[in-house]
Order: sequence, then structure tokens, then C-alpha cells
Amino acid sequence: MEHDTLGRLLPDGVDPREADELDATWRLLGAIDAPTPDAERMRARLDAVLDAVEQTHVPSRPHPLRGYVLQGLAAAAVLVIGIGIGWYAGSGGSASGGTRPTSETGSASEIAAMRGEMHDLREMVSLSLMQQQSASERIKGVTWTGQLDRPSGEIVSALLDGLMHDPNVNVRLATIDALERFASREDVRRGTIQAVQSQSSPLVQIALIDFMVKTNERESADTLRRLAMDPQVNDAVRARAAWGLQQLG
Amino acid sequence: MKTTLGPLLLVVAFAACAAAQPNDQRSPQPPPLPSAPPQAADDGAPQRLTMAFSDPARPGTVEVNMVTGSITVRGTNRRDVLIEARPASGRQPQPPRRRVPDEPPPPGLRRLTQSTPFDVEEDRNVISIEVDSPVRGMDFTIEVPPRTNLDLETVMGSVTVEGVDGELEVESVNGGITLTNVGGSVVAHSVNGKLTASVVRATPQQPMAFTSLNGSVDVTLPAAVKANLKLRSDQGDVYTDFDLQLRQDSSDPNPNVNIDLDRPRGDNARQRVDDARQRVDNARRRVEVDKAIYGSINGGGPDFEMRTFNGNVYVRKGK
Repeated sequence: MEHDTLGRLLPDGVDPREADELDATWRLLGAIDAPTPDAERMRARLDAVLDAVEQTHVPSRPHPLRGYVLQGLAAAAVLVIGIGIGWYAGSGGSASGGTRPTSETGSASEIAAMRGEMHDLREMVSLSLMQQQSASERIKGVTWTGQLDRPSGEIVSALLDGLMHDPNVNVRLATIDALERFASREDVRRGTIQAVQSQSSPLVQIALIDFMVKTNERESADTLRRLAMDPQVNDAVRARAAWGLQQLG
Repeated sequence: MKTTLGPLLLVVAFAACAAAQPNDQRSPQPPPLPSAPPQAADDGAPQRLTMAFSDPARPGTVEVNMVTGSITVRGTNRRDVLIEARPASGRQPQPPRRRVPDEPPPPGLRRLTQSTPFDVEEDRNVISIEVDSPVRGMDFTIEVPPRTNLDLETVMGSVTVEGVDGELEVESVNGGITLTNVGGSVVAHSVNGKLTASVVRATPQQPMAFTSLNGSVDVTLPAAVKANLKLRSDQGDVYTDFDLQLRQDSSDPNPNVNIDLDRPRGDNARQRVDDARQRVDNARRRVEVDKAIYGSINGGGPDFEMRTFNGNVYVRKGK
């Protein structure tokens, strides 16, 4: 498009290729003053630290490369302590003269606090991954929630939101697997029943019907009956809904 | 990409000094720029145009969103993007509700092909192509730099990608998807078409997904790729020649099932991984529902989901 504009503006005798080169230079110049933080690198570093920390929480899987794990642990410990010191210093400054927990409380509570912070951090990472532009990153965020011990309501809402609104079919499919462990929650029951009706992808609808059968969601019977009767609905989905009704009945 | 004239003219003098140098340095062979403006297509003659990324040093993204027509994207040795569009070939299913019925031309007249308007836009290294009309079909052939992210969507038409490495998101409702010699991470879905992918490089730690409702899913992965596979076909079978370690872990929604596939060891023939439920002794109800096979290859890694309802799933070991 720019070439067109340029082409029309050029007086006779000016080589359009030269103009193109000028144009390219113009664009290069434009690119100079827009340095963007290297998000990928930062992510990679964060991932590396978190991965290393995760090793400590999975005792059932002994790692053959113990040396690397120890190195990772050391790195993670330094990071956590750094964050801890930063936060304590920060809160100490604003609360002016509050007691310093580092010196007075036992190390057990410190570890508990750090574990809590680590948990928050992991939640944060999952949530932010679920907001990414790339579908693969969003799937990663969704599966990461499976690693959280006691995920907060925010995680569950983010998963439900993904199920209802994510533009990518494969991300929506992944949320259904991740939501399974929360199947007893009222909002998850309601959300999945709502999603199975509004869903545009038959494969996701089928996965949701399976979810309902697996979690024995009897409240979904009416919805499944309606799906099974609806001639607008994909045939495979209708058959699955009828099968689901039978299983639940 | 909207350059106002004022600043352009101002920098022309300055740019002129620097013009030759960076160009010579950066691209010893400047790619040919057939920047022909879109023209009225005359019976299948393609409209061609090129578009540059604002920051060619970083991998850019190409997005195509359309309803009728096929998309072919090839990674080639270039820095910008060449877009060729032509009226869709007749094999697409006729879109519904066509206002004017097909009729023979009146005597003495011939029908001219109208070019379909489409928009191409570049914003912060993302080139997006949108076809205005959902009714008139367009087939796109796009050449991109080998490292490019893609987000391709069509309803009636197939999608083909060759030799592109990046984050690849591909979706088609009624057409097949063929990805050849691709790298990076793939998230692909076709509702009614077959999905074939040969992945030659996988980005470490990045999940992938290949799913279809009515088509087969046929994926070739690098032989050494580390991944946790989730494989499932509701009406068909699952085949692989990878050494699949069936596993149970905390994220496995079906932890009580212990499956032992007594497969012939050291047999290179593609082994059939049968429905999990048939091998399970305590066939409880939830076991019957979750037919998915969870297993890791090369020690495990990010999740790769391969799933179809009505076709078979093939996971092949590449070279």
C-alpha cells in the first residue's frame, strides 16, 4: 500500500526501486525507537526457576541429574529469599517499625510463608499464561492449573471463562480436563451445563457431555434431553447426548 | 502502516544518505518486490501484493480469517510476505443462500470474474488478511519467512502449510489440514476434515494439540521429542510406533486405572494401542467414559493432545 502512495508521488525519472529502498529505510528508522522488553527470555528464566522449584515438591520422581537439581534448588532458594527480603523490607518501611518476622518467628513459619508465596506465584503464572495471545501458551496455562495444590476461585473462574470464551477449540477442550477436579463446585456444574448449549464446536460439546456423565451431573439431564432432540445440533452430539442421558438415568 | 507525508518528505534527505548502506548490509539479495497493486482479476489471474513486517528481525505473525476458500502458506527464503489471491476454485461447497442463481450468460455476453475485496493490514509485526465477503471464495497462496507465526482460519476450504517454524494455529471447519515440515508448536483443529501434520522440530516445553471431529488425525513427530501424549478416538483406533510409556500422574483424571498393554517388545511394526477400557479389569463406569490413553515418550514433556471422534489417530515416529 505504501508502495502505491510512493509510486504516485514520485516524479518521472526517479527509480521506483530507489524509492522502495528509501521506504525500507524509513521503516527501519521507525523500528529503532521501539525497544520491547524481551518477554520470551523473561518467561524462559521464570520457567526455569519454577521448574527447578517443582522438583522439590515431587519426591516420587527421583531425578537422575541430582547435580543440576541442586543447582536449580540453590538458584530458586536465592530467588525466594531475595523476594522475601524485598517484601519484608518493603512492608517494614511502610508499616514503620513493625516487628521483623525474620528474626523472631521460627523457620517453619517462614517456610510456610514462602510456600504460600510460591503457590501464589504459580497461580499468577497460570493465570497470566491463560491470557496469552498464543493458543499453545494458553493450553500450557490451563494444564499448569493441574499442578496447583489448592487452587483459588480465581483459577476456577479463569478456567470457566476459557471454556466459554476462548476462541480456540483446543484450548476449550483442555479446560474441560482441567475443570474435572472441580466438578463438585456449583459454579462449575452451572458453567459446564451452560457451555454445552452455547458451544459452537461439536467436539467440545461431546467432551462436555462425557464430563457430565463422568462426574454424574444429574442436573444436566434436561439440557442433554434438549440437545438430543434439537435437529439443529450436530448428529454426533445428539447421539452422544442421548447416550449420556441413558448413562445418567 | 499509515505513513503521513510530512515526516516522510522530511526524512527523505536523511534517509537518502543511509539508504544504500543498511540495505546492502542487511539483505545482500533484496527480495524482489512485485508490488503490483491489486487489480481486477481476469479469470483466475491472481492478485499479488507484498507486505513487509515492521520489525523483520523478529518472527512476525500472519493471520488469515476467511469463510470460503483455501489457504496455502509456504516458508521461503524471504523477509517480507507475498500474498497471492485468486477466486476460489469450484470445488468448494456452494455457500448457502446465493441471491442470484447460476445461469448461463445472455447470448453474446461473457461473464467477468469480479475480484473479491480483501484487507491486508500490518500492525506491530502482525499481518492480518481478512476477506470482506463471506460468499465469494478466495484461495490464498502466501509466502512467508521460514520463521513466522501463523493463525489461519477458514470455514469452507483446506489449509496447507509447508516449511514454516513458529507458533502455528490452524482451524478449518469443512476442509482438511495438511502441515508439512513444520516446526515450533502446533494447535490445529478441523471439524470435518482430515488433519495431517509432520512436525520436524518441537519447541521445548510447548504444548500442542491436533483434533478433529470427523477426520483422522495423522501426526508425525521428531523421534526424540519429549512429550506427554493424550490420545483418543471415540469411534476409531489409535496407532503409534513410538515407545509409549503409559503413565498415571497427578493431572491424570483417571488415576485408578492400571493398564498393561502386552505389546510385542522390539517389534518395529506399528503397534495397535487398543482402547484402554477393553484391557481394564475393574471396568467401572468412569473408566468407560474416559477412553483417553495417557502416555509419555522419551521421558515425557509438555502435553500433546491428539483426538478425534470419528476417525483414527496415528502418531508416527519421524526421522
